[in-house]
Amino acid sequence: MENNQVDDNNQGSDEAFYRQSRQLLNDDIKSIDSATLSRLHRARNHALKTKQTYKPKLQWLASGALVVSIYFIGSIFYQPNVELPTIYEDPNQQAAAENIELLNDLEFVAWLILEEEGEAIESNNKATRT
Amino acid sequence: MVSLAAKEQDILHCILANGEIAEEAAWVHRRQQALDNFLANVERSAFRMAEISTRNREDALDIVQDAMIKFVSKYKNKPESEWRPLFYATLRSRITDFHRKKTVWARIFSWHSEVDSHFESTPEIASSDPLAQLAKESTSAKLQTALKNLPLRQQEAFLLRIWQGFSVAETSKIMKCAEGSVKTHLFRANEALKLAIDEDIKSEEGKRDGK
Repeated sequence: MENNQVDDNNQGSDEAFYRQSRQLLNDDIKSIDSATLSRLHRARNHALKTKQTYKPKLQWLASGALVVSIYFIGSIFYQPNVELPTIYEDPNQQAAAENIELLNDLEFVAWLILEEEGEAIESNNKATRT
Repeated sequence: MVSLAAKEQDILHCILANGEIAEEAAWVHRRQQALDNFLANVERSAFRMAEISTRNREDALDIVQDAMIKFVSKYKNKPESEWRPLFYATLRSRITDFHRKKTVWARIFSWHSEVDSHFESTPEIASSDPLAQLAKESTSAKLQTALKNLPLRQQEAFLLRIWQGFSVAETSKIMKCAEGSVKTHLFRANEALKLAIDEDIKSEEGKRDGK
């Protein structure tokens, strides 16, 4: 019982405090100086002249479309340099590299050999007839 | 006959269209008037709230103007019953942005000015000797000084819930926090403010009752 009475007293005290605080603040704003009121009046008029409705989604959409467009246009005109195969300064290394390339194409190499042998045989035959 | 009827129909459509345009123009005008009346009603309390928070008249005026512009841009087409909480939510957002920028600048230029810890959680009363300071002021000024010394969230909770009369649910939406947080902030604000000015208020009530 006593605790309830204390709680009620506290609540009543709080309510009185809130009431008084509210009254003090309400009375205070009635005495705002005229210069400040004039500035507030101008701010209000300026705000009411605002015509553009805030549309953040459309703005973000437009910005995103612009970024994507710039990217695509840039990718069309920008051609990255293709790395050329390295050329060896040392001719022996270059020859070795070429030999390696030839070895990768063995069929072609075999055909070359046969062609060379065929040519050699023909030239020998010609020399024998004369 | 057919062409005459068609012309008459065209004229009728024009009249109706002009009527609709006129009706829409009237609606826009009424809306504009309602917005003007609403902002005129809230501008003083908005200024005082901003001034208590920023402790600077010029900053408070800038904040109120920004809040009004943003409110009109975003919410002018909302129902009038929603304007009040939306406006104070916009105002609170502007005040929070102000403190955030001020804290960032203060950290960057901390060699030039003191870091303002007002935005962060602070002790209940930041002033070194508030009682000596308050003794010289009237009760109203004391209340405002005490409010200025509160941490930001406690200020917001007290001014929105107690002064502006928003419900706990509305206050929580404006402050973007849980209802329990609103009650906690309000409780702490209450304790700090009563400590500062309760005696003055009681004596004023006593004088009023005596009359």
